[in-house]
Amino acid sequence: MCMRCEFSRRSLLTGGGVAAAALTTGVAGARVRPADMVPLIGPGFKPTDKDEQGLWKEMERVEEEIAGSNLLITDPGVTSYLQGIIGNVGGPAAKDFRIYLARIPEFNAVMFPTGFAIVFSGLLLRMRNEAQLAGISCAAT
Amino acid sequence: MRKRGAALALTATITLGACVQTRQYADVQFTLPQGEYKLLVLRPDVTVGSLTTGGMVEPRADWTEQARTNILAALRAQQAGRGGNSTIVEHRNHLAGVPEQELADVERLNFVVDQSIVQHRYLGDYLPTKSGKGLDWTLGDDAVNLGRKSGYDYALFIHAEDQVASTGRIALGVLGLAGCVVGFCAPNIGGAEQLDYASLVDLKTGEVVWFNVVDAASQVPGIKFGDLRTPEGAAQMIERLLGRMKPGAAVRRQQAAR
Repeated sequence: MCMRCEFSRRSLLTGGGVAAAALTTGVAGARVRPADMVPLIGPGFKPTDKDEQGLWKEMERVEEEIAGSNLLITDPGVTSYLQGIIGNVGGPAAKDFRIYLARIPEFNAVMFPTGFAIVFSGLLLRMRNEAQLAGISCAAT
Repeated sequence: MRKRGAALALTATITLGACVQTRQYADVQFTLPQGEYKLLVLRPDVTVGSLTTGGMVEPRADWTEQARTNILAALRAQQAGRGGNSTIVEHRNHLAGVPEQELADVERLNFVVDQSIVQHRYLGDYLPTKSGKGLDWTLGDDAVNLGRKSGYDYALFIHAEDQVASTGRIALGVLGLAGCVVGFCAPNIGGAEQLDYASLVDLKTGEVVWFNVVDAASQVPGIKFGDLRTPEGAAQMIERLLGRMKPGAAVRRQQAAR
């Protein structure tokens, strides 16, 4: 133990403990609600980086195939319901998503970087309430 | 002196080791289309990407667009020199008498059939049930229906994927080779590869009657055997792919016997 030191080991430990406690109880609790989120890009966004443009081009081909797939369930009621949920959890930008509901029995939903989503019908089969569906949409968005 | 000679020899081996390989497969009874046949050429499936230093391929939109334009031009020039009556469908909704989605279905089916032909005939996962049968794949009724509705005799599908080594990749390759001069040869990382294939489907029977794979791979980044982004490279690819169509094994045997 160094007697001439200004900070003793005990005071250091106490100080550290107090700082840690302040972090967990204090300011860190603030949360951002989806409705308050500001989109980083506006509608009609086009990528400018070469690698992103390449990815978008591939995704456009993917969407071309999906949009014409005979697996789609084209019920405007269900699609707009899904669109509403995704818009609610994903913030304002997510309202512009193109939603494709596919008749696939597996539990899954997929989002694509160009702004479209595929929801498998198997996901809807396994959900017990809207909150569960919103939870999955959150994770996917 | 001897060391330098060895390094040169090694460089030469690696450079020459790179190659352009073509493998053709045909139905045993396949005869080259002759006379007044009608050929439907479907939208070529093209992707050109950048081969990054780490070896990943990053798709590039502008290069792909350039390559597609060049390939279509080369195809038109090549088809003009042939006897048949051919049409190139650039968009799925441009074929009279066939709904867009029906054509899309045939294209998707062909995509997976072509992939399995490449997998099981070219890449080495040979199937014992298909050996000695020439080319034994079919698109079935979908293709027959397409032929009936559109009035074409054959459909030609083209797939092309190309890579261009990035500057970082070239630098790494050069560095690896330069090491040989001082006696330390780094493992060669390999260069860009171009893989193309084409399949000809008889729309009367739905069968894939002819298939060709072109694999142009280079061992040294920066050296390329045909660049689809240039009109010359695209013309060269079309020539390699469609230039020397051979008849099926049974037909060739008959011709030889005569």
